[in-house]
Amino acid sequence: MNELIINNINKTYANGVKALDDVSVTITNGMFGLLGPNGAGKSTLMRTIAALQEPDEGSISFNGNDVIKDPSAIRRQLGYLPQEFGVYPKISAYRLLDHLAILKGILDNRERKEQIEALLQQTNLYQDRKKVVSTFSGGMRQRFGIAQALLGDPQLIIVDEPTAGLDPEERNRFHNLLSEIGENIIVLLSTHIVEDVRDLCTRMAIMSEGGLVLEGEPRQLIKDLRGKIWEKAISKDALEAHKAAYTVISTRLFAGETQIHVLSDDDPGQGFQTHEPGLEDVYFSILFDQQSVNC
Amino acid sequence: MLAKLIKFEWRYHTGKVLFFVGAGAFLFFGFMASAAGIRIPNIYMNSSYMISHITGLISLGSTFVITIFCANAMLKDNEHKMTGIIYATPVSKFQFLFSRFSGTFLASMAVFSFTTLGIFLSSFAPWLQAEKVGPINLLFYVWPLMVIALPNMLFCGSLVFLIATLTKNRIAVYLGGLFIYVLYIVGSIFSNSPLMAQSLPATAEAISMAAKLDPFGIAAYFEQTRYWTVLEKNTQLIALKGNLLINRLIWTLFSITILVISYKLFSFRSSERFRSKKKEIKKEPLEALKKYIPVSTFPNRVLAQWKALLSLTRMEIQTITKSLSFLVIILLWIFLIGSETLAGIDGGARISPSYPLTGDIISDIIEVISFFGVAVIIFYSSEQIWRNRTLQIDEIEDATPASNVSFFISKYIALITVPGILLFTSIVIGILIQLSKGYFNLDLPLYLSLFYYSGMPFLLIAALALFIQSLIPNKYLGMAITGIVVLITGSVIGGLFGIRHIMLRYAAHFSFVEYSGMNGFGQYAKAFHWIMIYWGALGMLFGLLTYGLWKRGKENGFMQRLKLLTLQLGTLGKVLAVICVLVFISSGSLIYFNTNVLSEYETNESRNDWSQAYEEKYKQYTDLPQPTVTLLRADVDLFPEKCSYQVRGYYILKNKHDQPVKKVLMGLSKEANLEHAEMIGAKRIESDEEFGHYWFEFQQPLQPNEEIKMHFEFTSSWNPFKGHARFNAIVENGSFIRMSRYFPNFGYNQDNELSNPDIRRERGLPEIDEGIALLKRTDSTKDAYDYIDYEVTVSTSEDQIAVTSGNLIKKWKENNRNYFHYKMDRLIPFRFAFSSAAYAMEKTTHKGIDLEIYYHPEHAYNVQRFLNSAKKSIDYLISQFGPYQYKHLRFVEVSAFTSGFAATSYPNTIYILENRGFVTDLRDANEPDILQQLTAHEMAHQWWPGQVDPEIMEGRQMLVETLAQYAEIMIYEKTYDKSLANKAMNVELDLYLRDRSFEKEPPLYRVDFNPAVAYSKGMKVVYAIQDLIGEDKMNQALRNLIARHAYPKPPPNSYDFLDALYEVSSQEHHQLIDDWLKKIMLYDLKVISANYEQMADGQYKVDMKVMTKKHEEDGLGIEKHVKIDEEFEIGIFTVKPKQAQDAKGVLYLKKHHFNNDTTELSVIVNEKPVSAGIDPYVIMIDKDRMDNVIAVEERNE
Ligand SMILES: Nc1ncnc2c1ncn2[C@@H]1O[C@H](COP(=O)(O)OP(=O)(O)OP(=O)(O)O)[C@@H](O)[C@H]1O
Ligand SMILES: [Mg+2]
Repeated sequence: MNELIINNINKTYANGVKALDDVSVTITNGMFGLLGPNGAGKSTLMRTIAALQEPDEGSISFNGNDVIKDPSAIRRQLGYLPQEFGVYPKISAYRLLDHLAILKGILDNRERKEQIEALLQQTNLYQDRKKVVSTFSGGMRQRFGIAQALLGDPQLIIVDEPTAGLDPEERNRFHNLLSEIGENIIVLLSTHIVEDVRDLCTRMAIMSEGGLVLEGEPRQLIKDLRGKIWEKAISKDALEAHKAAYTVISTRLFAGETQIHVLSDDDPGQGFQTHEPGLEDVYFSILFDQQSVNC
Repeated sequence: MLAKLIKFEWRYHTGKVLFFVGAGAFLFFGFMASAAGIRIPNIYMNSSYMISHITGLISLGSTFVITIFCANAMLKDNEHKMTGIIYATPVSKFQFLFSRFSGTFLASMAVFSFTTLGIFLSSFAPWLQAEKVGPINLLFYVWPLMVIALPNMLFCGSLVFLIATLTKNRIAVYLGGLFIYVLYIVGSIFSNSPLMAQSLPATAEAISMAAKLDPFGIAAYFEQTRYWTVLEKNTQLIALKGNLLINRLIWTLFSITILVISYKLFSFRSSERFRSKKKEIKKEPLEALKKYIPVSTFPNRVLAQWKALLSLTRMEIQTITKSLSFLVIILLWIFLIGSETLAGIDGGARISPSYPLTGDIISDIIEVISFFGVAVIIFYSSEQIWRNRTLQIDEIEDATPASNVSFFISKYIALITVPGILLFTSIVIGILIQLSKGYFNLDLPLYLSLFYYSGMPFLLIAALALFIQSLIPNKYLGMAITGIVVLITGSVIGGLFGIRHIMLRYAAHFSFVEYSGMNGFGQYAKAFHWIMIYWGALGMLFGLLTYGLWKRGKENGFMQRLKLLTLQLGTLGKVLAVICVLVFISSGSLIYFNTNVLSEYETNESRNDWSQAYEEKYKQYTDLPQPTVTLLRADVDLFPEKCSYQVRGYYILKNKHDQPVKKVLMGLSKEANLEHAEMIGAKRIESDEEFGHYWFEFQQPLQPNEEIKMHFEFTSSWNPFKGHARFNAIVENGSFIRMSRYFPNFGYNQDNELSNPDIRRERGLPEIDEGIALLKRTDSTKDAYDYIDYEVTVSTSEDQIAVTSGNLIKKWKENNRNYFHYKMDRLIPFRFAFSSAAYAMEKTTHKGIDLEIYYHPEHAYNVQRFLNSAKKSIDYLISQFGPYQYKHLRFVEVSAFTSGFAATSYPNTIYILENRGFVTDLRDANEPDILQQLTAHEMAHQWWPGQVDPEIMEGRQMLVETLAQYAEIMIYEKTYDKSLANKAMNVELDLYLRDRSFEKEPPLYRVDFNPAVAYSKGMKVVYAIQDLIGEDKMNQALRNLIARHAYPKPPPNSYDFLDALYEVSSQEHHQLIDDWLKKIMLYDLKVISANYEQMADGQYKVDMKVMTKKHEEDGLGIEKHVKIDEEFEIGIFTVKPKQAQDAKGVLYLKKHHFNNDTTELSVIVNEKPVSAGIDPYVIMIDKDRMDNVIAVEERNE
């Protein structure tokens, strides 16, 4: 059983942005989803765990090894996909994967070849394996990134927005691949796509402004919200009035009308209908809480 | 709108650090180039000439500024992915481009004008002497900026602008800038530009061509000013006229055209058309899906680290070599090294080419690559450190378990691969050039040694560059700092800051070693090994630190990395660091011991201090009567392998004064160590080791004409860490030692004085105007020749032959050493040298003279030609000047570890530098034969001054060098033809006109050491006198001079030569002889117009209008018109002017008399004339010799 323990880590960038605010969390085998708005600090947290940058304070340990003091320990067991990455120019996908596999320490040539080919097939890049990676489309490149993160025998996989830019089919393929391997190791993924978390993750957390504001099992979190979400379709002009009167956690345009979700323990009446909560509502309600705390 | 946009661009440039760094740098360059750069005597450092010169040279450097600015301005949107946004704004294409370009141009101009400010400020430098600074004239500063720098900036700017618009690629723009620069340098080499400081001036045609074509206008500037006198250089502004005007117009128009083209080609859409097409890869049928299975990894194993290192290295090298920039760099390099090497071999159009010796080629490579290689390393070191971050692959790689060691080493290896490839390419080019010249003696081991002698410093510089890049958080700043550090510690620039000691010059870069075909790298190789160990230890330490501070991941500040340094280094790293420090200190101590302890370390300052102290202490003894050496016997033991020699011997000294000599002041050069000195009948009463002076006092004063004996013993050696004196080159093979300079001498030694008048003034020493005695009529009948009886035994190592003046009367072997006993059968001046090498020898006899040639066996190409040239020379010299005084005549090759002459003539022995004559490629019969010239000149010295040794006073050089030059050109003309002789004389004319104004010019008969006058003008003028009075009479005069002044008769001076000339020539010629020898006369002869008509009898009548002007100059260039009254040749030719000047197609050639500035004349010839000229073969000193012959037009009424 792998165990990643994060204790009270803080990080303030040189420009004064507090990107991590006293984050503590313990993660064990399984898929762990990280949700949060842009700039919440997800990528910062992931880079910190991957020992690519040091926190100002706090500690991180992976299977008992101190990540900050001895980064090499975690690197040996890590698969990492950054949110943005580039590649060497004029190098084919296969060559680059081979190179990274060697860096990861796969010594056996045949094993390495087998695994690379498997990964290329699993990410549907096999036919493009001789193509130069820098000419890949955004989605293809993203899949390449996923493939390289899985090289070797990682015990901890950190993938920062792995599904960004994937078409629905490829996203599906990715989900299947991850869920297969995610049982025995830790997979930490950040995303803006709530369904990714709902479909894949056994546990999740929501980040906002550098802090972890919620952590739990997606199913349980949804269950906790049951009966508290109310829905109503209103005209655009009425939005302000509703916002003033109710705790509107989200608004969405649907077929030309504005649909609002309201958080309320009781039926607010006024044409509101009860709504079966989804993970999205969990996300919005918690962010709404967070914002009102700050205001 | 436009104004606003330009202002915005201006702010953009001036707001960057680069702007200030650039401005500072140009301020510095301008200041230094002016305050500490070249000085020309009598020319103000703030004269228009000097300011224009410096502005022009530094404006080459503006290429870099405008390139960087242009890249910034044109590509900032692209690189910040802003194009989409910017291009969608309503700014029009014209506004956009115009503002970008003007912003760039204005900012670059602003940066560059700091050069002018620097030059301006330099005239206030406190260490300058008031005499060097003329009146300040602001126009002198602004004018060159406008005329030279501004169009140059426009030129560079337009080209890089075009590249930027076309490619939208930063590297392409940089390479474009570099390309302009390299192209320029290469162009200069081929056009024989004055910029390249060629020893020979280009032909007038080439200069005029270069003046038009040189995009930087520097050639035009040189063309306009090349014959300026001191006065003009001080007061005259360069004028926008002639070729300079044409040049500036051509290139400004060119620049504007380029700008218009850029405008037309520019498109707001991103340029796809310059990208290469991508290869289509065909789809393969999908195989059965393989299942993903985790594979165990062993990143900690050594094998894994090793494989990671290999893979990383391969990736790094591939990334470098597959890039376009690398390809372009290699092409540039091939271009540069190829043209340098070819130029080195061809030697320009005016002298003979050399065989493409491997040694010469590698010397070229070492020299050229030192700068280029460093520039490339600096560029790639920043790439190495920043590339992965720019590519954004760093996070992926940094998250793998590969160790920092692998990352660091792979980057380092890839970095040093680049100079490695450059060296390899140079070798291939070198070999190809050799093969193409039909030369097959390829010396592969020597080629490979390049990787050590040139490559090793690159390894060290690469380590330093990576280290600096890893410390400095900004790529460009890092490049700038590395560049500055390398330049200051490595190049001559460091000398300005006092960084000269080898222990301060990191990597000993920029040519520490020298190579000679005879001697190889010599003893310097040994010092080089030690110095490489010393700097290698430091370089390794840089490597360890770079590794220890390796930046992995993001956001890890320097302080953070510093904290982790020791942890990162680990025990092994720390142990290695300690070892490095220990090696550094111990090898450093060894070097220090050699440079500073074994003998005193000398700086320019300390040397000057010494000279001053010497003068102050001993000047008082200048006139102290001293005895003279009349006989010398010595045993000279040369130890080439130890770079040392030992001399034991005695003098017979004679008191040649009228009064008794009581005290003797013996002196010894600093190069020699006195072991023993004993004077019979005298006691050593004082020793001054500091100045090498020893006082002896006679118990009984030495009476007039009395003789005594003096024994002495001294040694001399040198140490490769400090270098050797060029005239005391006792080396492993090919030693040459002007040993008479190191033998004990007597009295005050004027050679020790400071001679530079500026330094003397600075130090408050009295001016020495009597550097040489003034010319005066003397009627010395006494024995003024201090000749000696010379007999020596010289020994050298077993495989070598030692040569000195005298007849070889015996040779033998003893104790594994070769001994040679030389004895002169007549008295010789106190002037002798020794050489020693593993020689091959060839001999023959001609007119009773034994001709011997001692040569390096590998340089056997021209041995027979040497002997033939010698025979030709002997024929002329004996028949014209009288018999040769010795039995033997030896030519002896010596290694290029000696320098300062091409050949040097001693009694019956002529020493010739290995790279002169011996390796000249004379296979092409149409090329000038410098071998014949050199041989004739040196052999003539056996007569002048070998037989007639003039008084040491003004004009001596005329009787020594000018007469040798005269004999040289006469023999050359007899051996070949007028055409080649004319070409040789034209070279001399150009040399004279080019070099004469660099100091106050004396008339020929008072010339001291001034090659422009003594050699170049001398040859022309004496040839002209010969042409005037006839060769017979000329040589009669010379024979008379020998008859009256040869030893032991009293020595002559210039007046005696003049008298000899007057005596043989008719009265009417005396005025011209005086004009040419006693004055500075210049002619301006030209054909103004010439046409012809056919007459009734079928003959042709040519009507010419000619200008014949003559003026006299004082030594500083003030001119005085002189009325003409003399004859010049008028020639009519059947060939075009250029061939006519080559002495072809003569229809008519006769002297006409002229006494007006312009004259019209008619000549009748039989054939149809093509060209006509006055003084067609340029016998006179004519500032413009191209207009002497022009084409003849048919007259049409
Ligand atoms: N290198 C940096 N220097 C300064 N500030 C940074 C740096 N990297 C991130 N930040 C700031 O830290 C905060 C957190 O950034 P981070 O990239 O971790 O957010 P994120 O949750 O991954 O956002 P997104 O969903 O947009 O990827 C942001 O405000 C960002 O501006
Ligand atoms: Mg992010």
